[in-house]
Amino acid sequence: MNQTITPYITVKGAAKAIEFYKKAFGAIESAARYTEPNGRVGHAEIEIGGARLMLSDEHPEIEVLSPQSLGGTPAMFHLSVPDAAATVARAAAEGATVQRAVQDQPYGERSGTIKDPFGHRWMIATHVEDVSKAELQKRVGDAYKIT
Amino acid sequence: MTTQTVIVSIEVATEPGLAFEVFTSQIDTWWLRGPKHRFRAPWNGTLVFEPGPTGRLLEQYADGTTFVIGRVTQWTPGQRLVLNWRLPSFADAESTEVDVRFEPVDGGTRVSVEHRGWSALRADHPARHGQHGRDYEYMKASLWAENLGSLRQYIART
Repeated sequence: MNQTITPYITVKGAAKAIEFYKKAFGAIESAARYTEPNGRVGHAEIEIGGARLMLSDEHPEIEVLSPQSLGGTPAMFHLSVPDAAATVARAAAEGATVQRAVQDQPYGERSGTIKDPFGHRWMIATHVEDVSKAELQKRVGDAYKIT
Repeated sequence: MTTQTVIVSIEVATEPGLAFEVFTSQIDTWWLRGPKHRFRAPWNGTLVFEPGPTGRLLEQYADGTTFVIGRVTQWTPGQRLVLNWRLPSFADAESTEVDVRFEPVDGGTRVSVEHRGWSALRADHPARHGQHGRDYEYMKASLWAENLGSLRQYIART
C-alpha cells in the first residue's frame, strides 16, 4: 500500500469554509459529508487542483479546535496556480486577508500570503522562471547560503 | 429524547431532476453489492424502486421472493423523497425513516440523506451489531457515505 499524506483541517464553520474554498480556489466537494443533527460537520472532503483536503467543524469536547480558537496556526498551504495575483484578489473579495502582497520572489515564484476567513494561511504562488543555484545565491547575497 | 439521526450528503454532477431519477430508478446499479450493503441472504438480490407516491423500495431474489425495505411516504421528483426503512431483523412494529433531499448547487445537486429513528431499536437489537451512540451513528453514516460515493461516481461516468 502506498503512503499518502492528506491535510485534515479544523474550521469554525466548515460548510461556509467549503463554499469559500470553492469560490476562491475552485475546490470541488469530492466525497460524502457527515453532518451531526445539531448541524456540525463531522467530516468533509474537498479537492483543489486534484489534491485532497479533509475538514471538519470544531469539536471542543475532543480538543478539535480551529485557528480562531487557538489564536493562530503553525501550518500553511502552498497553492500553485496559473495567476497568483488573480487568485489572491478573488480570495480577498471572498473575505480573505492579504498578509503579504503578491510579488516576484528571488527563487522564481510570484507569490503572496493570505489568511482565509477561517484563520488558515495560504501561500498562493505562480512559477515564473527557473533559477539556478548560482543565480539564486547571487540574488540573495549573504542572507542565505544556498547548498 | 433523541431520535438518533444520521445525516450524510454528497454533491453529484447533474441537475436535481435527473439526480432524483437516477437515485430511484437506477438504484440497483449504484447501490453497492455484497453482504455489507445488500439486505438479505444470499446477498445477490436486485434492488427495485417502484416509483410514485405509493411506491416501494424492495429487494428481489432469484427464487422469486422479495423483501420490502420500505414504502414511500413522500415523492416529490427533483426535490424530496421520504420512505420507511426496515431491515430483515426488524419486528413488525419496528421501522426507521429515510428522508432524501435534492438541492441545486453550482455544477449539480447536493443529495442529502437523513436517516432517523434508530433510537427506537432496543440496545441488543441485532441491527445494532453491538454498536451504540456515536459509534453506531458513525457506522450507519459510513454505509451511506460509501453508497452516496458510488452514486457520485456513477453519475460522473454516465
